[in-house]
Amino acid sequence: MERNFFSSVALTVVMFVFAVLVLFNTCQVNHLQEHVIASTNEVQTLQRAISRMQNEIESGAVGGRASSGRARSQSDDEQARFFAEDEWEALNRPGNLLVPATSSLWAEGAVDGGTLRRAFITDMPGLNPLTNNAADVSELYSYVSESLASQQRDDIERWTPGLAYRIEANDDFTEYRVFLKRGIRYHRASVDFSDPRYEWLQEEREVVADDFVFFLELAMNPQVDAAHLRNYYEDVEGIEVVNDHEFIVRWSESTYHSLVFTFGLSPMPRWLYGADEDGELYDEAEVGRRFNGHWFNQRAIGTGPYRFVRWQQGGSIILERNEDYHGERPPIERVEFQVIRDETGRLNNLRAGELDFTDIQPTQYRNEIVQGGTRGFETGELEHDTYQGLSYRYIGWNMDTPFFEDRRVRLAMTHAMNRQQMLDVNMEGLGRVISGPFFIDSEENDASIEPWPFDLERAAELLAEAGWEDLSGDGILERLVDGRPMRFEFRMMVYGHRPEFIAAMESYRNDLRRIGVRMTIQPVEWSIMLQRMYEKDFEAFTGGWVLSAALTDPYQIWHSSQADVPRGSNRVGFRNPEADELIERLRVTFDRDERIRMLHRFHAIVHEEQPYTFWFAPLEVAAWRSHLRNVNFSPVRPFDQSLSWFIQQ
Amino acid sequence: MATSSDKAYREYASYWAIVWEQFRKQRSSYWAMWLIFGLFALAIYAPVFSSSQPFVWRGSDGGLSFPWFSSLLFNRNVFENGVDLFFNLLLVLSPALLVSFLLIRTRARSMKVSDAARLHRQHLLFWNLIILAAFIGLMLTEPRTALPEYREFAAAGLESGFALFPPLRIHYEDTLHGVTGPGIVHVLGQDNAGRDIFVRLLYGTRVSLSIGVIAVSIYITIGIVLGSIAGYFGGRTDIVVVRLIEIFLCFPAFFLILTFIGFLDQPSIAWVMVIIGLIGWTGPARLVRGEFLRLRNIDFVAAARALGLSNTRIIFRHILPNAMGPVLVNATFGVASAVLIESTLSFLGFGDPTLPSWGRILAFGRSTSDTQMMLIAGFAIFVTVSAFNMAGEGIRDALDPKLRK
Repeated sequence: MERNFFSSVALTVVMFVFAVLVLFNTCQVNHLQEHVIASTNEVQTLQRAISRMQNEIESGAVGGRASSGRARSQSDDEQARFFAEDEWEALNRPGNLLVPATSSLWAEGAVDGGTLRRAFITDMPGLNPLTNNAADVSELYSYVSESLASQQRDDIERWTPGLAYRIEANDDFTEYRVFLKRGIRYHRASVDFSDPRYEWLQEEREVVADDFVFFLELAMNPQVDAAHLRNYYEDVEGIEVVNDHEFIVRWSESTYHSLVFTFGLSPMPRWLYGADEDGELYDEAEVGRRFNGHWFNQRAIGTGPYRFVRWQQGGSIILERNEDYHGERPPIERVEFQVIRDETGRLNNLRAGELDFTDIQPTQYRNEIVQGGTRGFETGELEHDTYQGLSYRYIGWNMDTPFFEDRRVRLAMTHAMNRQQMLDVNMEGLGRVISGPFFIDSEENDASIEPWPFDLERAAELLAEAGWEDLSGDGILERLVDGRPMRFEFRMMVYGHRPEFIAAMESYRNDLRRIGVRMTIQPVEWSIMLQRMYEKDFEAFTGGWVLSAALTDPYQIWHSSQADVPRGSNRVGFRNPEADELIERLRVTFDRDERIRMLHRFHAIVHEEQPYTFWFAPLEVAAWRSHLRNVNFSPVRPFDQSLSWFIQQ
Repeated sequence: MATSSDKAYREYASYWAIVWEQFRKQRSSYWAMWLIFGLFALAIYAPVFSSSQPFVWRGSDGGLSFPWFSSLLFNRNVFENGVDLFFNLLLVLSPALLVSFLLIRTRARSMKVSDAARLHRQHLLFWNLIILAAFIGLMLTEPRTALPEYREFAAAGLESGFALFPPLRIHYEDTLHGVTGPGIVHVLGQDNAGRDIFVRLLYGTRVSLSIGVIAVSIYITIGIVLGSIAGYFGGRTDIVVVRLIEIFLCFPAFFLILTFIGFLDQPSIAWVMVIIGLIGWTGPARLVRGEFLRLRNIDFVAAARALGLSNTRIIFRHILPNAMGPVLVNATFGVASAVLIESTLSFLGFGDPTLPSWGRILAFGRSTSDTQMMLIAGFAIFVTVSAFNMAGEGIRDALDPKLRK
């Protein structure tokens, strides 16, 4: 075949044109599909509007417009109707650790009914409440089940009744007496009742004290794959059942966290999880082993405001409102969870009207919302909001290295880090610069402590004070260690799959170079990062901690004893006698104001010592279709629980 | 007056002259070759276009200095990795190289052909040694000097001073957020970290080309040695080498590379080169072995053997030059595939994270959903790979006597 220059060029041009045509075609088809979906939605909306109008005409009522906002505050009388008379009286008696809720799930003008479609981000192997501890499973159970008490979602200082209406503790908080509400029934199990073998599940059973005993038995059973729970409850001596609706939880030590974990107890029905598919109870010795692979693990049961209906394997999980709920029923009638692992897929589904609510990743936030002009958000069809997540990011300095053993050096590192700029440029502004390890919106965080400012000159001064100077004139600081100069060169481990962190560290490196510090960025896998932290083979790393709104216990991360245990969480080797003492006293201090004072003091210590450069507390982003109203977020997990949301049809 | 051996040499040389004539007729390949030269020139002269250091600097104290020149080789605070250092070395030595080449050529004109060839060989060897020695010396000494922020001084205004910067006052690692000064222009924009995409792309040429050339040199060398030994000696040696080749061929090359990379804690660019080099040798080895099997019983080899020449001499001086054609073709395609492999590795997050490689730029663009950045980096990879492939095709066709025009 004869080839020449022009035929190659012609071929290239033809291929290019072909590629463009293919691209064009794909776009067109996409566009058409979107149109079809949009028109289907419009037709559905119209149908809904028509049926609503018919209803209104028939009933002669006129619907009020909904206003979105926080949940309405609620009077005691409204609360009281969820309790028996004597229960209500006991709830308000002094000595009870619980207080009545003060807000309603029903916002002004909330509409009853509708289906909320939202997304799970991971595939779940099963729905066992103890052994499947994925975030998505916990979220599901926050709809389906309840614990003894919970924090009011818009006021986390209030512990409001759940299954218990009254919990009292002795003086040193080692004994909790719990009184359960009477007449709370489990949902009917979601099994196929046309099959006669499930006949035994027809009966609706009440929640009794023994269910909590069973929960504890399971949690502490070494055969059960629930190691995460065993940590929390290992100090429980036992549960003493007084009668079906009253029991005593005994803790072996007087600690503050006993309160939170006692309130967090939730019932496990022995008649279900302790029995085989025909209702026969297992042998005592077999329970734990059978529990991990229990036949009911593809389903969920509880007493909560929503009832588990079914889980189409690989597809969506459907919840329906529990019309017999003992508390206030939420406005939305049905919640559907679809598993969509891909973040782009979630947003596309939201656009196409297949989802009502989804989370948004920072890059999506930049490309779709900040840079604007994308479909949906500008037309008002979609809405979005940011909320403060319960976590923070930091740079950890290995205090056992000759670089960062000196407080002044760590402080210099903080001064050299332009945290606000990194947030604005690399994190799309999704976060707030912090000065300490506590939840930024809580009282525990001392708001009067300002984060150290970005100040390269001050950083250089501090380094000079600490004895680092450029001895050889090579532009890199040195210090004499055992008579030999050691250069200020260190490695920064960065989690490799987050380009925005690597990008931020790039600019940090350039700033550090200007004060004579040489930093090498090492993007590594999380597993390698962990291993190197356990082996103390690092100088610095970027990390993050997830916080708990219910309990602030700095022991795990900051106590000096945790610096030397293998695989401890005090990875930077922070050892401070005053901090240690505070941490130990905090564990046995129950007075709220005293705790706050101590936590503020602790905050001040870590701010001065800078074992971490506290970086920022990330803001989370969520987007939803605008017919979803009263969308609000709570600092309590799951942040985006939809109990008080409603759907405007 | 030409002797008979000169004549033989001339005829031998004229074989390559024919090939060159044939190659020139393949227009697309011919231009691809120039494109490759252009890419090399870009790689070598990248600091001339963009650097944070001024060519000439006179501060307010009146002292004249030349930070750009000293930064090329003698300041690892500016150019930290070996690839940059090597290309900078070529940049510094390129005028000397050119002059010496021209001198040698004029001298060689008046010489006998065989002497001229020897002179060229010695000349080449001399420069290779110089460059290698200088490179190793620089790598070992690691000179550094402090880095004044020339650009900021210049932007603040020089009352009595004077500064001459390259057209782009940007270093590929600079993270410039909203910093604008005279001469700071982002031709293709910035990435998420504030680094200039164009400058990174420019310096990425160095990474890609050096990976391609060095990795391929490694595996061609291994391939030639093993292939010629196997083909020349035959018998047991042949069986061993061929089995080795087959074993290596059993494993998909890319996964083998991934496995090797996985063993390294911090894979530097040199490791990537070595690993690609250690994996890719099977192709040239088989080609060379085939050629040797064909050539070893031809008369001129028998004659050489009858003259009592050593095996080494017969292999490398008599047979190998005749077997080089297919290897050359293989090498050009090899460079293209090595560039691709490096891009893929960088894209997957392996390889040296500090280097501005094209694959890394592409990956960074993807993870920050920056379409423009992805397209630009992809285009650079596409152009380079295509150029090498086109040149390879040209060489292949030019070497094929059946396709002579």
